[in-house]
Amino acid sequence: MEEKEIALRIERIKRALENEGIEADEKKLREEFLRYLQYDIKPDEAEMRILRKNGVRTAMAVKKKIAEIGPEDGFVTVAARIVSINSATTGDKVRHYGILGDETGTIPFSAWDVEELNNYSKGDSVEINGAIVREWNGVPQLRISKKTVITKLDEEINIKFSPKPTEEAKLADISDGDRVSIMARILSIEEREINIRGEARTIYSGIMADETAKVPFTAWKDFGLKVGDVIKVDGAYVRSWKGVPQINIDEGMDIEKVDEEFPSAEELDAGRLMRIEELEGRSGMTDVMFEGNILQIRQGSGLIFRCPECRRVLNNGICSLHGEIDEPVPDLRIKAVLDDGTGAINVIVGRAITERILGKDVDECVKEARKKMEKGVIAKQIAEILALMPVRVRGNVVSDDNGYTLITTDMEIIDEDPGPKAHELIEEWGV
Amino acid sequence: MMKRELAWRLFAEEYRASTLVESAIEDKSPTYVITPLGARVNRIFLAGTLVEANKKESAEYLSVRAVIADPTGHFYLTTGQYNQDIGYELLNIEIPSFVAVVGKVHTYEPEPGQMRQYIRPEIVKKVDEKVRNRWIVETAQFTKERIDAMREALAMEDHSEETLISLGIPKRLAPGISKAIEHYGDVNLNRYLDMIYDALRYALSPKENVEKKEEFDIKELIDSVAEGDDVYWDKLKAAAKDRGIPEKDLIEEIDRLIREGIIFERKIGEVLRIDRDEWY
Repeated sequence: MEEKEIALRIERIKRALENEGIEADEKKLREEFLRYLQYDIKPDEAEMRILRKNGVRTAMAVKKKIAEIGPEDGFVTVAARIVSINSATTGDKVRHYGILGDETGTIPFSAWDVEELNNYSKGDSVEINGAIVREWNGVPQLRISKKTVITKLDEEINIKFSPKPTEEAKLADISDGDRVSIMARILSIEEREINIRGEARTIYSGIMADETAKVPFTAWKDFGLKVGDVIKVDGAYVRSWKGVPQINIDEGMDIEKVDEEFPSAEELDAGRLMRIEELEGRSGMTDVMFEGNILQIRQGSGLIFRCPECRRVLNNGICSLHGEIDEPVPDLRIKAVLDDGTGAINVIVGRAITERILGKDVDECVKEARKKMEKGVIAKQIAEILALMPVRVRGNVVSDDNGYTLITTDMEIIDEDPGPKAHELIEEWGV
Repeated sequence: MMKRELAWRLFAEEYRASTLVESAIEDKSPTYVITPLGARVNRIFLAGTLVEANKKESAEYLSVRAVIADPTGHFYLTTGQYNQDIGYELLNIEIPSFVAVVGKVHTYEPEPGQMRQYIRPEIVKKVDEKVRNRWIVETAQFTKERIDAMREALAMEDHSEETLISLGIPKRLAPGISKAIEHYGDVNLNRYLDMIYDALRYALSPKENVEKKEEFDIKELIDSVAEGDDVYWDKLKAAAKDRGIPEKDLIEEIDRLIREGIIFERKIGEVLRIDRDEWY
């Protein structure tokens, strides 16, 4: 065995022990490890035996190809490429999640509080030693723990996307972690340069839609997609941002432009009216509409001041990050509750729409507030205009611990005469 | 975080016919009123005509009672120590005016077996007729949805929440409907169909189709069917029907007499009793 590999393994054992609060002498570990090898014990097992002898409960991680991993496997070691990696913070805990792939297939992974994963990004080839196999919805997943040892590989691992047919799905039904086969029309697309650890890369992102929903997408390679194209993608993977599912298209996926009958861009672009109760079970939606009443104008509405550095909202002129601010930036927004009789969601309305609703711009609002020596006057005017009124809103629904929030892209007070509808219902229900 | 309670849309007649309350189990858990059509209501959104707003005399703080009429009857609002600002607002709105209200249910039993259904307003606002009419149309649609769900549920032997959901009744409705059937039994759904049908006519524009309300002497009508001090609802309704008095007008008048303390419901929905001291 090469000295490089021995050193790597000793380092790994040492770290695993230290994670358990066990002090380890590197020299002694090395002697012990080599002794196992002399007795024809394979290196993987030798590592495991040393750990178990020290009271670290671990099963032997079996080296597997991704396609071979089944729910019955306890621990596995895989050499894989990171197809995607994301992180989310809950309290002071960080969760990483994403997809790993090798030449046989792909598998989702997740990790709680494994800070080391911050050093890795999409495209890296790694060896993951001692990941736990868990089953979720019948699909195996890898759980990476602090005890899992991750090593970066120099060689590049090729990815083959799941050979098994992925499920055909409508865009309204996709959710985080799915691998799906979809058909959709591209409504918008733009080229963007992003930086992955110093390396510039071009990606193509935009909005696609079928008759059930609009969804943001990212193509990690130039597939020559154009606005208006109807495409079929087999094996696209779904990732969520703030609960909003997004489609990812990467190399190796089957993607084809089709010439089938499909709703026109115009039809797909029209707002999709939903009931709030239909959000249940979904984590987010792109470009949908609701009709309901504004039943509360929340704190933080009206004239607010932001930090010029970070745009955080100031509290008594103080930014939680940058301290006291000399030249705060005035802004307008509305935070409210929309209720449509089937449920209630928060809505956030930005400056442009707030200005339209108030019929004046932010500068006038500042002047007015200064004159009255009270910035609350604007919030009061908003309440006078909007409270209890029927409105039609459009935007993107995101979700977090506080429930659903609509990031509003349009809002109007409903001013149509309900008479014709009343007439229609009388006809419909009349005896 | 606790999920915000949705604001139910229902007509006064349905709210006022409610006799089932699911009380708060813990301090912070909400109280629900369960209506005969199975709405499980903690918060309510309504629009109608403000017809009365009075200061309550005895209170140390401003307390206001207000009455809002919709096409089917009346909602009663009370404000107290913790929403005095809304009390002031109610007193300052011209009567009559169209108003919209969002508020929480509040009930009390003056005597066992009797129940008063109030609303504690969170926001009150003067609105125009269009907003009021939109509420009527929307409330008629939601009520129709409950009537249909109730009809389906009543046809089943098992009324458990799970069965109702498996029938396709929305999750929002199933728990209330299950409890309502247990408590109210076989609800007269046609009464509520008539109610929404009548209510919708108020939202028509132009209003040419709305019947003008016939004037009638309610006391004389009651006297004609009274047995001593007792008045049986079914006989009263039959007598009103004979004279061509619409049921909602009858209920409205009875509501008024109850409010004035001239009669009270001895058995809800069955027997009224006349308070002879106040009668003449």
